[in-house]
Amino acid sequence: MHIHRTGILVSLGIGACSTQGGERPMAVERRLDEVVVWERSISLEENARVINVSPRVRVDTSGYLVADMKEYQVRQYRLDGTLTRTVGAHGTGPGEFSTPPMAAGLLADGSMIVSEFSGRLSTFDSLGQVTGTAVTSLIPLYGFVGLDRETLLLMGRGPNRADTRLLHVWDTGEQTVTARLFPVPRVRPSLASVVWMVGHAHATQRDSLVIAVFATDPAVHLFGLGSTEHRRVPLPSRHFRDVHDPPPRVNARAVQQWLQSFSRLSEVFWTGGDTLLLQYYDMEGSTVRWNLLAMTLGGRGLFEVEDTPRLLAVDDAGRLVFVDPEAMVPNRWRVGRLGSSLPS
Amino acid sequence: MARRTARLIIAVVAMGGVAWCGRGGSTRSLEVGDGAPPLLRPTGRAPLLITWVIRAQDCLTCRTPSRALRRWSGIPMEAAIQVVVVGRGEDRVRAFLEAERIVARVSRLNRGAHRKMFGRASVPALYVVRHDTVIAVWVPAARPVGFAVDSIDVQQGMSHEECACPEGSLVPEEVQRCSCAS
Repeated sequence: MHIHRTGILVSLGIGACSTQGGERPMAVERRLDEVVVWERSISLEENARVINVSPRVRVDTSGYLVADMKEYQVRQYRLDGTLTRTVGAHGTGPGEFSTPPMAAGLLADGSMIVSEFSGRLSTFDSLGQVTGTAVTSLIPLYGFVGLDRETLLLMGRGPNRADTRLLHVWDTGEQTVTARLFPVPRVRPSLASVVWMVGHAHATQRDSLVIAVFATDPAVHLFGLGSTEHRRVPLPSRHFRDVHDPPPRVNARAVQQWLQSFSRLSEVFWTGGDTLLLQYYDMEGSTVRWNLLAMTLGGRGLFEVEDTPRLLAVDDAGRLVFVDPEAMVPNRWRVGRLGSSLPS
Repeated sequence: MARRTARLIIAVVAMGGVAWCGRGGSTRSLEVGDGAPPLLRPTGRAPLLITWVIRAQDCLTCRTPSRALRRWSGIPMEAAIQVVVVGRGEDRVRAFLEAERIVARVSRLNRGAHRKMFGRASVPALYVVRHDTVIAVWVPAARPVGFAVDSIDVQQGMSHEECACPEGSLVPEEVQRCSCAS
């Protein structure tokens, strides 16, 4: 992971210029078919040992890596959905996961790094054998980005409440955290327990610019790696619902209703240029309703789509990988890209 | 096929501690070796019927045999799966099963009918019946293995101690899980 300080300043400068001067354009409401041009469908290969239940996906030019947190398995697929490799199983032995695998990434030599919920990082060779493990002391460890030979950007929580930072630069050689950033956004005391419970964080990274979101904070946060720069850009959303105080603890039904009363940011994707896609969700009973918000790095709203299929991943070319909106199961996907006629 | 079936039975049984119990009177729980009540007997071509008896609030993935049931779902010639919902919340259970990719017939029993049929049996419980005999019973541990969080007010408010998630762990999949409780 190379650090270009000039790049950081330029990138954060975009945000500074664009959010100054008063009115902040909000995103325009759209349907998914109006903003996404569909290219193809994929059906992921399955068999008696491979069932996609809860896929967390990373995509590159060679195909897809799927970490399935409910099946304790990581799978590698070609772009056409052909299964080429599986690693892991539920257990405590070598190459097994005792807690759910949350993310996976490929190194240039074909080896694979998998992060577990418990904070463990395991490296598998091309034959699926474990070649190394590391304990990060982060729990939960939500995943990682910025994969290269030396450095990962880990998303997770430190071992104690005193350390509220959510992003951690991990030196794979020294097996240690070399920097921490993105403290849990401050909230009033009545919401402190809420942000601890739903305190999921996600980030994406290009060069030395990190873009992060926190579940209940209606904003994106821009950080420069290797610097102290930090800019908070509010979401230009018309539909994201802010969290409010939880009900008294004795009433389970009220808690249930409260859980349905606010939105939560789930992921941030960079689709190229200065366009970001943010995925957030609302609960409706036990059903998760996904929504997408497109905005610029500077905070200008582009579009917002409610009740979408889940966006699983975005590749470096800006292709979007969704669960097929017509599929009953999550092994059927649709790939598209943002149309050229986005609102300006 | 027999070896495969045996392995799958072991997989179900190994999910989290099996309650292998002795025989008893008519109001006691169903036990291994008992004759199965009609509801639990396989009626189709598959020789095994796996019945998962739950309440809606038991849809907590850390306490369910979901992974094993998914495997069974894939071999309908060997085993059929049914889920019996005790009390209300059948719709939530159906949604849960769909999300978990478990193919099962779902039916509902009110609490009185459940008591009449299953005696003092724990809920949730999973029964495996071959022909007309109970060959395995699984009752999950009283508390989930692994994480315990008792310092979060809102989680205590959910009133289900089973819903124990580590701090900051409610990624979307987990929210779905916890929201299944009511």
